[in-house]
Amino acid sequence: MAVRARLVPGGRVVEVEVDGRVRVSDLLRRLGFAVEEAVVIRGGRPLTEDEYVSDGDEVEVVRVLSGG
Amino acid sequence: MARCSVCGGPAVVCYRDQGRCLCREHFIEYVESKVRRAVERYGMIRRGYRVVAAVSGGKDSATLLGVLSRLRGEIGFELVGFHIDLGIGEYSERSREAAVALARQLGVPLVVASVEEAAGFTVPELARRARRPTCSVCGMVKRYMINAFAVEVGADAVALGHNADDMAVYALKSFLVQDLEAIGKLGPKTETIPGLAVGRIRPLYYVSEKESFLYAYLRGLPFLHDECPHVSNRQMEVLLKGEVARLEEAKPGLRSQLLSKLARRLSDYPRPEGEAGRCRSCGLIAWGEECAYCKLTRRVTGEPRGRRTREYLRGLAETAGLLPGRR
Repeated sequence: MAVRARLVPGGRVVEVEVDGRVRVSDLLRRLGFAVEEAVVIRGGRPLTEDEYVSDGDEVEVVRVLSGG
Repeated sequence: MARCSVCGGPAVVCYRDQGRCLCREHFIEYVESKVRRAVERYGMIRRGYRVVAAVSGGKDSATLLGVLSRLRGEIGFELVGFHIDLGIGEYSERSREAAVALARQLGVPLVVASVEEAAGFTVPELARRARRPTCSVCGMVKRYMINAFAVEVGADAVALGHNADDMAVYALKSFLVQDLEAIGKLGPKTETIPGLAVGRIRPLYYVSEKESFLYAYLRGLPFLHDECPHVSNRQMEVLLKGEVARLEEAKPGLRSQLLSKLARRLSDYPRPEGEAGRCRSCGLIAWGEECAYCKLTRRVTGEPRGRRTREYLRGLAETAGLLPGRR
């Protein structure tokens, strides 16, 4: 079972295998992001690092750091 | 679910090192108070000022315009947005749309300038013909145009949307290549040189990139997520952003400490050689006989384009009813 994460910008969808649920900070790390780098949004609400994302959840993962 | 330390409502962000969380309303208030404090601490904006804010269409300019539009009543200043269409295809079109939507939503007048109409070519064309990296030509053109516009409308300050992550990365990058003169320019505010250059302010100096995104998002402000297609993942700034974020995670507060200490030590850094003078072609600030914009456009086309650009911008200012004398 997985969490569906849509990456912003870009729109790529990544399925992250989870066992029941995963902490937001761990989800970010598994996607290769530092906590300061990205925000996880579920149902239009930004989630804090210590909150949990569950199996079957659909989230947006927004990389906030920009380029030049 | 985490609870807001102020009111107990559902939290949208937590500051682990400070041991507190904030809900949407109190987070928005917190960011606005950070900006207000920076504006006061560095004397960025005074009553009666006319402030021209750079609006790219991205999240930082959304936050910048969003906060400043709320502060204008409080402090008593006039806010004008300025967007530059760089001529980078669909990216520029969508950026412009976002900038227009943002300004409309906030009730801020916005002037939209086109590099192609001002100078005769888009930024990518100019960079290609000059055989210079697109990003460096872009930066030079944007700085020239916003300054020229600000001078035309008699502005007291140009507000830029650089956030704390941007500033930390610029400082580190400059240090890595030992461009110490560049570090000296990375403060929250520079002074106006009458007739030549309008002083620049960075109200988001202590606002992190993550806070900037969350602010714009939570206030429902329109902005474009997409990056400019010319930005490459191998650029120093991009690499350093990730590193600074990792460092901040391990050592919370590092970024803002760096910036507040830097702001106090700017005068210890060497100044660029030569004196600021008047460009012989367009009359604006130049470090030498001719400014970088006139010099580059002259090299590429045979004639400097500064004066023509200033005239174009004066026309836009007049149409918008912004020429001094009408204030």
